[in-house]
Amino acid sequence: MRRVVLALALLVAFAPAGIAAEPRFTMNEIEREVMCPVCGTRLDLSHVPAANQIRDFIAAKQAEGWTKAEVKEALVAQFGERILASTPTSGSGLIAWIVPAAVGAGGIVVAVGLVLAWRRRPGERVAAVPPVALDSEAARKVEAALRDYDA
Amino acid sequence: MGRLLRIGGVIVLLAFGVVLVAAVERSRSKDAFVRQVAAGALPPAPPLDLPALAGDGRVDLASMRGSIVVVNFWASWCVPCEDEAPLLARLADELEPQGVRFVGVNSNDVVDNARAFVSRFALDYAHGHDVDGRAKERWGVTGFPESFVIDAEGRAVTWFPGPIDADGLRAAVAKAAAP
Repeated sequence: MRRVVLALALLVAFAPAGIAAEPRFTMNEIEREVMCPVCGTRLDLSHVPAANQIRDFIAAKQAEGWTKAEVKEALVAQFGERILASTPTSGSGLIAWIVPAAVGAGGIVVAVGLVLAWRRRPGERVAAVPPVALDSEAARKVEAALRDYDA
Repeated sequence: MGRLLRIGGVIVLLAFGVVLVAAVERSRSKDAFVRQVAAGALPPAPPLDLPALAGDGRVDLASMRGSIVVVNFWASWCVPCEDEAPLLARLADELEPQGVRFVGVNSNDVVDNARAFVSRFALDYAHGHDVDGRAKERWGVTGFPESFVIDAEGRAVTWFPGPIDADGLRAAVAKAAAP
């Protein structure tokens, strides 16, 4: 029993330190969410000096225990919204979401319209052909051919 | 339905054309200013009103009207900027007593590193922080360092599309001072 109590006490004493030492985000994770402002690619794909400098900044803040949101906020303060890989859903960033959605919706409408028009055309062409009246000789030949076919 | 489709197609084509023209125009206007400066057309310098790199103040080019101003775009991670910085510091010491103002525009940079750079090279003049890179775009700057000499009437006289050289900058300042 004493051992259990001792183990629990140790756990309580050292657990917070262990949790604090654990990084609150990984470099890989944040590098995919941040852009290199110089080359315009994601940070994980860029190795120019400016990208390395930002990487060092993030690593330093990670070591200080900052959260990912805090790091991103600090980056936005220094580089503006363009530093974020995802476009903001407010302000002028909203345009970047609305325009592709509108163009996509318009494209779907046009595509559906084209399909409907394409499907309707053969029917219209068939309806436009006037019925042909068979004379008795022709009718007899058709009947014979059908009988041969069934046999 | 066919008519509707034709109208839809025309709208899509028009939208595509507008986007295309806007993209071409944007890329043309990006370097329009530097091309004019290089051609000696003395275009008015684009607005430059930025938060100061250190402190709460602002760096506003308009407030310097009446003085010749050397505007230098730089970043702390840029090796040619490091090479250029000691010369800039020396030229600022030499020319500022003659009434020439120096302005640094720091862009695409981590602020702490930029401040350390200023202190390391004793660049004791005003530096603005181009947070979103728009000043850099407006001025047509595509790399670092780049510098401009602005005359007392706010017109861009000379563009240095790379590190400055002492004689070149002195000559540009003399040209800006010429009536």
